[in-house]
Amino acid sequence: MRKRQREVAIVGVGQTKYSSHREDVNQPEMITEAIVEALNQTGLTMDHIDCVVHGNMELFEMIHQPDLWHTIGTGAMGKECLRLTTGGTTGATLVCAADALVASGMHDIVMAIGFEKLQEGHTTGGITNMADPLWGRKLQSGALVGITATQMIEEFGEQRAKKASIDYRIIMDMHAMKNEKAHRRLGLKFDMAEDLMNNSPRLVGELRMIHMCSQSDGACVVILASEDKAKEICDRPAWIVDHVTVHREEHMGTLFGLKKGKLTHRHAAEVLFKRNNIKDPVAEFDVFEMYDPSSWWGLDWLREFLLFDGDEHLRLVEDREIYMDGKFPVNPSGGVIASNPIGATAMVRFAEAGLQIMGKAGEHQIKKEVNWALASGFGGTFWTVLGILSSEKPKR
Amino acid sequence: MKQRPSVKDIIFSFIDRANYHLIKDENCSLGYDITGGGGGKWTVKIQGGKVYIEEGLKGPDVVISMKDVDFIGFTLGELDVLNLISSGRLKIDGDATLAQKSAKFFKKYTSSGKQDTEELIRLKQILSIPQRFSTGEVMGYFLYNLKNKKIMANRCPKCGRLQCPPREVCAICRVEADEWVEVGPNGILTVADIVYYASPDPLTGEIRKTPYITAYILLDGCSDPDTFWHEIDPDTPHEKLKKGALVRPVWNEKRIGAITDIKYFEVIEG
Repeated sequence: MRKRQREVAIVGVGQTKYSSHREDVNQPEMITEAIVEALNQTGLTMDHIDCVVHGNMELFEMIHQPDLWHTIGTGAMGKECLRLTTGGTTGATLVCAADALVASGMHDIVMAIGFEKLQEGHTTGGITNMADPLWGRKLQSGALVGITATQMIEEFGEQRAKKASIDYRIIMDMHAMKNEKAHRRLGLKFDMAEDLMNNSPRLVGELRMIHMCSQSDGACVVILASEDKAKEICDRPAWIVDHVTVHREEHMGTLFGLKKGKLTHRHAAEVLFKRNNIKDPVAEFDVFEMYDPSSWWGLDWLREFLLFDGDEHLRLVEDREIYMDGKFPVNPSGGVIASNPIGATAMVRFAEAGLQIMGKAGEHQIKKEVNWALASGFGGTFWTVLGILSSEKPKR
Repeated sequence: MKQRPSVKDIIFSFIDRANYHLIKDENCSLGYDITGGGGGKWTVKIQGGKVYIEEGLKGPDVVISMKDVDFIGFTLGELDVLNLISSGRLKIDGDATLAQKSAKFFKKYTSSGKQDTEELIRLKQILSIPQRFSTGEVMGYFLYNLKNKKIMANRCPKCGRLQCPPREVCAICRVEADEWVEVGPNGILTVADIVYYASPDPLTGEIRKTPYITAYILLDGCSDPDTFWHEIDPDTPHEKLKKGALVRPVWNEKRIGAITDIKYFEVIEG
């Protein structure tokens, strides 16, 4: 276990509604909405906040000091402030950084803000410019990758793979229908599966438009507090148990050889589960908020995060066990496929896992009590943040 | 409550809503197949700087099909076009590029006789930034050799893997990779991606012609999984993009020391 001076918990969460139509507000106005919600939930004011950690993926809007422009919306004037950006994982990194700031004893209450206003830039153009400019830029097609679909069809057969992927997509939409903040709520039904998986417009190979995440506008705010303050602010805070960030080399060739390469997701899960003595993640976790940019990746990554080797991940979906009241609930929020304001997206995973523990998820609250939750972030040329939240203060 | 327009009202409003300066050189036709009680079939013809509306589908270049309620909701800006397309509620048959382009042919729908109470002002800007990247010694040597139709990899002295394109160090072993080895130029395909989505090419800013094919290739001399990322001839029949297919590079006549020195790889027959 890594050293901590004290325990830290998520005590408050605020989110805007996620949407492709936020032309009615500018960036600081949009962020304020999430901040006000988080402050109202906790009963705190900006006077209680010791430090603001702020982040997004700047290459989308091409604003390189958003934290300063947003000061009027964040209330960070005169406060300590950090700006972070780590690509798709930004939101999760913000939570990790806020945790470190409190766990170290430097600050008691830290507000983490993740946002993106994707309609103000060009998402695929932005992501393409993330690639190595000496080689990869010419080849990168944003975050659109069809290889996982190709590999899964090769391994499990076309019909089974395509059906499991679209079923995953439909379950995520059913969850999103219960989350009024979700961006895409399409009202998909299982009897639409054949039509969608064969007729939705193709993006790359068998990755079709229906499988892919949205481009959303929105902001998410998470307030973290030290152990003494957490108990005062929140009846049932979501305690941070542990988190791990795993990198790999930027070059992607080693992932796509004849044999499928090992993803950082699996490595992160191995490290985190060993450190926290987790033997059977499906049985032990009450919910998993996973960063699932497409239903092909969502399906495949269940296998990586849960350390499966066979077809257990397909069966979880085929048996509807990932439904919010199933054996292993995945993304009761609707996940990234439903809402994807990129700089906030990975934070939303931790925020939604936290809300489930606090019992404040509203209509998409899981019926059985949530005590132990897993949340993941994903970025760029494949790196991972994975974290565990608990209803009980960890005993070290 | 405000009266909602009918599908027919909207279709005939195309004449008033046309951006005539943008359509003066266009010669095309858009078909609308709107289902439901308030639906119907129309062809909107754009010719000689004018807009004509005809009942029925008269061999249009593209047909846009959706339900009456969706068409009205979409026109009023209540429904998101990408959501409609991805959930199969809006179908486009024929020239999809024209369907996309035609969005600019017409102004936004406003109910007749009434002014919008609120106008949302958005400021449009386009950034264009010329960039100049240093290649460094290792990548520079690799690119210099491409000019002479040679593909160079560098070997990790510890694990022995050949990196291509080369990197200064082996990220796994954290040691300098200092031995140069010529690899390929032929190899085998490990996996290919057929890209239908037209995104901008960051090297030129132009929208890429689709579909194009990107692929990972295990060059002769390299070992799995150290593959080489490039493109495959876009005219290759898709059934030939099988794992293990033999490929060879097609070199550009004019080589400048860049990824484009290899035009693409082609599948070797037989």
